[in-house]
Amino acid sequence: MSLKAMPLLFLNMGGEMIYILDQRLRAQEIHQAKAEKVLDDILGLMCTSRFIEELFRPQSIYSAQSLRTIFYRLAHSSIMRLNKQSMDKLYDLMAMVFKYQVEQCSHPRQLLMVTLNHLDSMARFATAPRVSKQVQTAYDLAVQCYGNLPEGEMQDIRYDILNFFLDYRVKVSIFLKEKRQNPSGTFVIDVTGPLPEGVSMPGEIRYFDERGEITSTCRYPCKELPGEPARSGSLAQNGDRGTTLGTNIYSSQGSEPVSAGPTGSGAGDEPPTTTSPSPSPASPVCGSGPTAERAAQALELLAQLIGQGGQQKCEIRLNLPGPGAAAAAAAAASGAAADGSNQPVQGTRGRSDHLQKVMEDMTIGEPPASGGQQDLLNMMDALSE
Amino acid sequence: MYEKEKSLLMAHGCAAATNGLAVQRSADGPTWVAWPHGNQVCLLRLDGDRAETRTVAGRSSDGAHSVMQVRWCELRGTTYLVVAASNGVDFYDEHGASLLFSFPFSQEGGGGSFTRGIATFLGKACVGTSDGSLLVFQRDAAAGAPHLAQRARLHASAICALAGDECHLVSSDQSGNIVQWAGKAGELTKVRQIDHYGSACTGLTLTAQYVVAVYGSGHLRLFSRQTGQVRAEVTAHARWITGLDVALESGLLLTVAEDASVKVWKVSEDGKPLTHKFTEHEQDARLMGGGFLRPDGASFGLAAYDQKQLICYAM
Repeated sequence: MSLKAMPLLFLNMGGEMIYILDQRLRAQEIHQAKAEKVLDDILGLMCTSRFIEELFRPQSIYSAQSLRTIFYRLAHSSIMRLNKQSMDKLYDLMAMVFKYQVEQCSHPRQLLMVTLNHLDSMARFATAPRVSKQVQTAYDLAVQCYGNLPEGEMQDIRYDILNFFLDYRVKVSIFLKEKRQNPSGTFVIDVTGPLPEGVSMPGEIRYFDERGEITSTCRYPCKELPGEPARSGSLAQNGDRGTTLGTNIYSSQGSEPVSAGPTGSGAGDEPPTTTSPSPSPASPVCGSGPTAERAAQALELLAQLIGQGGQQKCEIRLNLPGPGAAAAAAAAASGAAADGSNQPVQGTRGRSDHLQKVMEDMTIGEPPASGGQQDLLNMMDALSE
Repeated sequence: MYEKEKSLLMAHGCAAATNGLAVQRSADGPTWVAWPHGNQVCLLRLDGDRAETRTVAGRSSDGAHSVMQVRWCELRGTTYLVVAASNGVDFYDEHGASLLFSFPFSQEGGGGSFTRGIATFLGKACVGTSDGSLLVFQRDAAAGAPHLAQRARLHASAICALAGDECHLVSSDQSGNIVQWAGKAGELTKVRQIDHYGSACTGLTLTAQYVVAVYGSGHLRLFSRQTGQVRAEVTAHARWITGLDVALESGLLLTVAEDASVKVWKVSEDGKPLTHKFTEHEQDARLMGGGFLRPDGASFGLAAYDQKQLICYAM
């Protein structure tokens, strides 16, 4: 398995998280200064140089559980809080949209273009100069790490990411509406786009003699429509990537709620599966081993970084609605909490003792009585036991 | 030429893996089909109208490791289910009931570590690795277990595919280079290298006269086994080719790709080396492998990423 997949998985899913949070902050008409602060806080943490360095070290992909916990912590690192259901929906949306983007890549190199599209957008969302600089560093590192990677290695990374999402199937309302996803949950495959670089239009057979000279050519019947050659994706910031994969699919949504999860009965050969409650057998949760240790180190680092800024008081309750959520969104915008719950987000399913203790120690919604720094230090002690 | 038949259901969806589908076919016995799913292998036994599934758990329960590819290999009269995984090579009994031998593999460096590409050659099982090596496993006696007999290192990049018959073994890598090997005094020795065309060579097979190769660029090429010279080049698919199989009895060749299409070709040993016979598009199926279910090529099965159905076609 590739040891270079983790940064792409994290940065792309992080980019999707920013898109969704931005959409919800606008839908709930959160004050602009507060919304900017939330996005700056999260972006700043995601792209902190220490965290990015840890991410880019050669390592296997973290378990699904560890990755979910990292994003839960990130989402709660600012003045915003989400309840458990909204947090689960946020993660499902992030994961399914990125899974779609990875699957749709017409060529392995396009995976880098998707990442750079996300990073371009993250740079645009950043308001504070410090955060802009951090995003820029992450951008430069991505280009440096993947810009010249051979296509075969990039394809291995792409397949590793696809296998991370194996069996993960949640219906996304915007995808169903735009006919990008079938009612069964499988993605619609569109191969009518431009041909990837290096690929020729199917339909021709050339014959050669023993000296390598062409003796004849012929055509065979082909159903493919003639496609123009792809534009070679640019590595420059805000350059022409040759694809819209990785750009903000919610930017035209306005305040319309986006949702993930069952949207009613769907026709299809198999019943839709929602696998968010438990990891697939393909990636069983493991509390030991080098990958789990690396994930724990990343979480510990994140805890340190959050701790350095001090645990922030909750000022915004964000919600991600399910189907028929217009009413819920309106209620939230009017100032009423989407629900009065102060339930802590359970970032794990109880399979990893270390991570479970970490999440239980995190206070969500109420400032910790003894001060954020001390609780996070206790957390770090627990991790290092 | 082929009509779609009822799909068969495997226990789990197919992983994203080039040449993911393996078939053990016989003229009159049951047919077995296998594909990877995470760190497991999904098996299907097809006997007339009866189909039964089985799952083989991987050696490692650590989710960080996964199965890349499986194939059946016969070593000294015993058939093994050979599993190329990211942490090594495992030999199971023919139908995956028990693990008989393991060879751990790990590679230093940032690129990644795995084994991929499996073929039988001169009664030995050959498996490729991410550092470009070929691992050759053999059994010394009828009752013995397989063991590593040779490690041949010639490729400069990760192995993508292997194919073998009585005369040659061929191996291809991510750079697109192909090496043709012969067996001399029980060891692999290089016959020639066929240079790359700028794209990974993702699949290989052998006919009487040709080395057949498919590429990430969607090309299919036939090379002379005697000289290494290219004899036919086809713009076959619009995306990365992910599966290749041959039915030697009839000379039929099968290619599948990420463009969701399957194509069947006829290889001729005289006259035009290759002609096109059949194309079909599989809606919304990111194909990851294909294989003939019968030695004469009268039926074939397709594997698609994250889908449990074995998509079947028959003449």
